[in-house]
Amino acid sequence: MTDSEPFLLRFFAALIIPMSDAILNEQVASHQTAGTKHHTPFEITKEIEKQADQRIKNYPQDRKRSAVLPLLHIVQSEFGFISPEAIEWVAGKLEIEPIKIEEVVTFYPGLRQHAPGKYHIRVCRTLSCAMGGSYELMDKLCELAGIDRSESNHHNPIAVSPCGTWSVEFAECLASCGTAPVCLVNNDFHEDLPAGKAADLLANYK
Amino acid sequence: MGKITYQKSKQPHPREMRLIFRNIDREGWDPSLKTFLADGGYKELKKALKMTPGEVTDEVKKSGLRGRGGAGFPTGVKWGFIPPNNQKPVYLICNCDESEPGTFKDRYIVHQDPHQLIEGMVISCYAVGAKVAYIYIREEFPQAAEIVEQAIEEARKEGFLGKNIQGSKFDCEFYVHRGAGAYICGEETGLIESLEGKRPYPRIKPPYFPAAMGLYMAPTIVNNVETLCHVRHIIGMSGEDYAKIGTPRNTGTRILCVSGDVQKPGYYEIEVGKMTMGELLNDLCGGPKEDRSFKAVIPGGSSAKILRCSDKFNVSCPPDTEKREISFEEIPLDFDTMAACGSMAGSGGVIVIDDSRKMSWVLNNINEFYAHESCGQCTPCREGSTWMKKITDRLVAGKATPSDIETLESVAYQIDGHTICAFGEACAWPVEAIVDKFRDELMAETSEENEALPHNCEEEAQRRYLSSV
Repeated sequence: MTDSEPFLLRFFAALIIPMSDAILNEQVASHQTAGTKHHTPFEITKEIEKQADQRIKNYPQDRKRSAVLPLLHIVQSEFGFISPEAIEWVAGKLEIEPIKIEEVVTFYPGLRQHAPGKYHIRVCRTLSCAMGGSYELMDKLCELAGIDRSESNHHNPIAVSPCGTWSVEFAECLASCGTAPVCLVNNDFHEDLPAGKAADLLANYK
Repeated sequence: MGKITYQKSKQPHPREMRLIFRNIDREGWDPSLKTFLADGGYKELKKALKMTPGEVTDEVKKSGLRGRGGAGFPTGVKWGFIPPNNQKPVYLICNCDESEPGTFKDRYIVHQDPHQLIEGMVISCYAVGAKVAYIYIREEFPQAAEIVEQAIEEARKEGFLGKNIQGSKFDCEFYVHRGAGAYICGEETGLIESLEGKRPYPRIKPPYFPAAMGLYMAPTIVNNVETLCHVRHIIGMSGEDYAKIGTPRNTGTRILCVSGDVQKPGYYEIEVGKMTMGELLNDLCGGPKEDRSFKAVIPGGSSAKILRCSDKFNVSCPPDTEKREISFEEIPLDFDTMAACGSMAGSGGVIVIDDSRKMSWVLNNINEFYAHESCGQCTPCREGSTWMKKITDRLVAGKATPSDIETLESVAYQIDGHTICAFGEACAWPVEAIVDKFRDELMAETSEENEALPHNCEEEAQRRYLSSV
């Protein structure tokens, strides 16, 4: 019995280890979407290094880990989403294990692992905006941009149009309840947007 | 520089008292330092630097200022919690993770008047002895982060920040830290965890009170944007004079953000306690929409307990100490009476619901928010918030049974008080209050016959199998 234990252990380890690797890789992987072609592939330039070093300096020397979010924001604004290579790069920059970056990326709704469209629209769905008609706005935007949201759920909130130009997502309270409904298109904020103005909104970005 | 006037559409209502929002939507106003200086900016900072840090804290204590982020805790008292024999660096964090549904005041300050915030923060840093401060701005305000960073740069160039501020030998540096869209980062210990680069799981109190063990385990003061702006005005007019605004124990002005079913939603800055709910909704906001009447109001952000507009409350309204019966419209807008009425003044987000809305729909929307935003650290909240969402999903779809309402209530009471941070209460209170006050309406949407419906995937599979054989 005692002799068989190391063997059993090795046997199960052989089964489990490659499997868990596969699961982990699957979790970290960035899938191709229709929007991928609109974003530049991940490549670190001198300019980005400089920006990152500048951000890291904002925190005490022995507390580099604090710069996780600022660095991820740099990556996301440059490349549209956070790829496994980007996670490795941030981990290397901050001298911590990639899993510590991964756990942050998977937590925050504002960080994306897959490419959104060229213009990513976030419509507020919380109470005041919902009363102001944000669900109708979302339906109208999907209709105009040819987006199918039937596959969207909590784990996969972003829906991309077939051409990759547009993507939509419901966001929680964007803090402008007095001018409901509101949305963010990339970094631009738009307020007082009933469904009737959806076409004008999209025309702004063509 | 010409005279600055208000934009026509944004004229302050005569009953408003603009202190913090004095420059918001003013014609000719911009967020630059030049405009701010021409309007008399940074005078209060110079005044504060001539006082000792202890004197500044005393002024804030005398003013009776209470935190404007939600809990209403006295700011001066919070500052006093820093251990007296502290050897570690002290940090100040400005909480600009404005994410409570219904609240939208900080948005205007950081977008339009960033120097007011910076001045308030430098004074606060001086009072608590912080040499580094972080401004935690939510991810959904990308422009605000740029505006504030530019304002910091301008202030540094003019010697209002950095080394030896205005020749006082006091050094202070500010940095902007952007969040990434999580509601829980508005909780102060969650915010600190987020700033440390981890998942923002709130810390348990005690022992992790930020004033003793905060950022990097050093004493940390976390204050809301509006609170820090008030500090500037307290120094300007002295704590005693500030305390004369509003009512005793509920001093100063506060910004109320009205949204939902009213004629004129928007921000209104009023003296705390000097106006009633009815005056706010009917006079300032223009009353209900045409052919509608008010049904219910959430007075302090979506986690505050809902108030029914037809209710009577037996409370004492300051300055009276005697209890008397008042109607919903007579509730004075202050911290204490609102708490006595069974709700809270919270973050000042007033969401108005009229008789065209179904309460089941309102509750489902709120539940979806909390189910999405629960951080997942404590089991009652992580599981409970999604269970409550599933039940109200059924209710809205017309598939709920009367016993579902009881289950909903029991889940809420099992979350309330059993979690590390206040999120548990925040997600349970709306359910408790709406079920309690609108039970008949919710019950009317349920049916005994729905007992026969499958309620989970196992039951559904079973049913499919049975119908196939």
